[in-house]
Amino acid sequence: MPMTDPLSPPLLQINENGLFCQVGNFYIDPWRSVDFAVITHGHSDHAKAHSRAYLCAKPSASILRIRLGKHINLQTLPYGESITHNGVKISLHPAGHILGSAQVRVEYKGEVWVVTGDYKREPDLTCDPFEPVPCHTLVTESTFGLPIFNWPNPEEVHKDINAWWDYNAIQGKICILFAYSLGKAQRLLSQLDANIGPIHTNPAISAINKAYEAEGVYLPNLDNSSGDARPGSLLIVPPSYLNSRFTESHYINTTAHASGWMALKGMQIQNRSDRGFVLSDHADWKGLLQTVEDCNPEKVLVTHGFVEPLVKYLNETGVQAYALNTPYQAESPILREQNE
Amino acid sequence: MKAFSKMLSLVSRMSDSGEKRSAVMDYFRKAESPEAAWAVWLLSGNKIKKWTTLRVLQQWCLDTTQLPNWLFEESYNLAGDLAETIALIVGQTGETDTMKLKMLMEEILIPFSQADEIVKKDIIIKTWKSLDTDSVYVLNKLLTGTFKTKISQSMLCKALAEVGGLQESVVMHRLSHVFTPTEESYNALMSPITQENESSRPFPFYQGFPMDPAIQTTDIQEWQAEWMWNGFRAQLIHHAGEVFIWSEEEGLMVDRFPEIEQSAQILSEDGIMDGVILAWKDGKPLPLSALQKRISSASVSNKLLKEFPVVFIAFDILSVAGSDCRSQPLFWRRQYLNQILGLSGPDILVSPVLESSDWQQLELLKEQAHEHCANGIVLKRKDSPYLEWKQKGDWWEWKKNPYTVTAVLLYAAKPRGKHYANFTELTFGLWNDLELVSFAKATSTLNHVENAYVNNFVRRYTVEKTGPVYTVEPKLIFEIAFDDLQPSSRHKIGMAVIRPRIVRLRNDLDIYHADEIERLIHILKRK
Ligand SMILES: [Zn+2]
Ligand SMILES: [Zn+2]
Repeated sequence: MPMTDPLSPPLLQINENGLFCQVGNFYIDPWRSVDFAVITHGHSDHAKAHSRAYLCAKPSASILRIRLGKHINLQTLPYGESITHNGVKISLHPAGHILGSAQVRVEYKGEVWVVTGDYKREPDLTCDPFEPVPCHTLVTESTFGLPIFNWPNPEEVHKDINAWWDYNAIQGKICILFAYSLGKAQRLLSQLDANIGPIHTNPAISAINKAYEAEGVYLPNLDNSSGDARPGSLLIVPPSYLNSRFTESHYINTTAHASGWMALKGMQIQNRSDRGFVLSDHADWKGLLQTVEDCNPEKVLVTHGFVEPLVKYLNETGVQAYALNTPYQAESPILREQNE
Repeated sequence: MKAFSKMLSLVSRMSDSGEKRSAVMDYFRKAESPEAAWAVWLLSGNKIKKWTTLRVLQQWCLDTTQLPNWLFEESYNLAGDLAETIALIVGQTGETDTMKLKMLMEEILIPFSQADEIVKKDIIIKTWKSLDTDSVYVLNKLLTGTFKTKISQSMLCKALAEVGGLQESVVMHRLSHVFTPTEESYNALMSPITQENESSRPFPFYQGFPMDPAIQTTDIQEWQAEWMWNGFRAQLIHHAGEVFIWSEEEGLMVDRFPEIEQSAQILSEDGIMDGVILAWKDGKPLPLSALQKRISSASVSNKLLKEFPVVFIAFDILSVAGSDCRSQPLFWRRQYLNQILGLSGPDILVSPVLESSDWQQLELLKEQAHEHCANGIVLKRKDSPYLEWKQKGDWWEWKKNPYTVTAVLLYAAKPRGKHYANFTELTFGLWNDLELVSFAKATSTLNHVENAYVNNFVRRYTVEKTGPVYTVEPKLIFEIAFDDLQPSSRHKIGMAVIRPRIVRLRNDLDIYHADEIERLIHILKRK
């Protein structure tokens, strides 16, 4: 057990720029530009532009360059390997959220903190699976931190998606599947049955597909022919295309969302698409509790999501937990996930 | 059971009825007969004895999961539905759901419905653990007597007919008898062999279309005008000494309207008449609510017969002595209708023809429709045949203008379970002396700019918040339309406002322009 000086500041703490390591003089997923930023993954609420130097997991590099610019000053680290920065040991471990997503392990004088970033515990063909990292302090996300969120087996969900596509293709319809362009789109693509029909995406998704393929992730061939999609095709586009001219122009279509929020009937109705598939890249309730158990920390800091309920519940079950408030807390967790 | 629950969950969020039907058909195509039999039984509106309440189920859920109540409530607040919240918490997410619907109904729900609370609790907690989320949701609804689906009887019949390759009316006819949820009954229901007595079926109901103003430029003499009765559209079939009443909504209705059946018995000829069923007393129609009370009760008691007697108001005849006469012109059919009904009993009437010499006079008459329990006037071209369903043409529905009042917004709320939605549940008030009293609640149909305006208004001018309801300063004025008023002791103002809706936002007016309750009383008195 490390001896922590009660008078010295915690190893990581929030300041006006983000989650800061004072002894190491670096930030994790800062929301302003800083000198040295360790980035958990490429989603826009975690990776912000204009920092002077970045560190990320190796498979995340090309994604960050697409998102933050080609010429960023970027250092990469294979999963499990470590560097020492101003005397603080930093290593990155798979988070299973999207390609290249990492948990950040920080060690100083024997005290270990782990920042999970976004993560999920279910298997995903497009990224390395989550690895629990034992620590003294765990900083966990809580996007789906309520006991009503329990994910169905993703294999079943992918089967349902293919069945939905197949059924509508036979009816001569075009299927439009709404998914975030980074992560969710590729996860869906990797499991589509390309025998059913042609698959299209929008340019933003195609650009990220290239980064995935460069890392050896298998994705099906896309139909890049110009002109309108044929009946029987499947289109994957970002949620922002909903109710736009795009969906209207494909008038014989059927739409679906793939997201954890689809577990709630009310949310499906609000989304106004024809189908909702429960498929999330975040941990569900059991996944969150499992992670706390696996990492066996002395203290848990909760961020990003249903912070208050998870903190209160952990404390009631004998785990010391606190809220770690970030600017993303003010927004509703639902809006926030949709921004990713 | 998994397939059944999944189908229900899919159908519950589909809006297109063709799509809903194909989901239902898909289920029945794949279901084994014993399962399908129970599905038909449940979808036909049959109910099991209520086991318990949702709040008791919540307690059982907490007991088995050891979750604190505050966390349950927090979850419920987000999901917005108690049965769903429980299902999401206790439902299995693996492929463990192997429970058959038949087993659930025959080995659990029916035999143990009278058991002790303790036994019930044990059984349900065990059952929950063997079901997936969709199935737990269905189970919770069945246990609490709140099982409802978006599948109407007629959609079920259409779907079964298509799956079995049968005529829809044959399925309706067969389902109108008591259906026992067994494999044999289901096979009989879907049997391709048609029996003789299944032949007395209705024709497709012809539908009017909303009035086209161009009609008013034609010669009024070409048209037959009648009240657009506010009742139950139905066809009355007299066939080989038997009487059948087919409602457009509900299909064949057996033993529901004995007075009409008796009156029809004495008709001398076979025939099929189109018309409406109305509650009718002392030579006058009763409001629709009377008919609804009569229909909602499972059996027709003598008391009900006396309190809410019904009549069949015939307006057309479609078949005479076994031969289809729909291609004859309306004036011919009308003559024949008068003739044949001259010989029926007292509870079948002919819908009177409204005479007027010009369109203006007819329009004035139309505005009195509510005094006759009608929604307006139907115009039918005198030389028209009786057309097939969905063909636009010779029937026009000329609705009475709604009543409108100027009212003040008093309370606003969001729909439950939609915390990021607009304030769409709005309650309006009218002046009663110097006080504003609430008179109607309407769901907003405003566009998103106006909704944003209302949202901002509510945020700025809320004076009190009780639960989900925001009380606002009385400042914002709306024009509200409604179809009708009915005396009601349940409402504070002594009347119920029928189908209130927002016409528009009036931010050009201040609250002293709002109407008085007196105006409603005046409308009610005129009826
Ligand atoms: Zn993310
Ligand atoms: Zn995130």
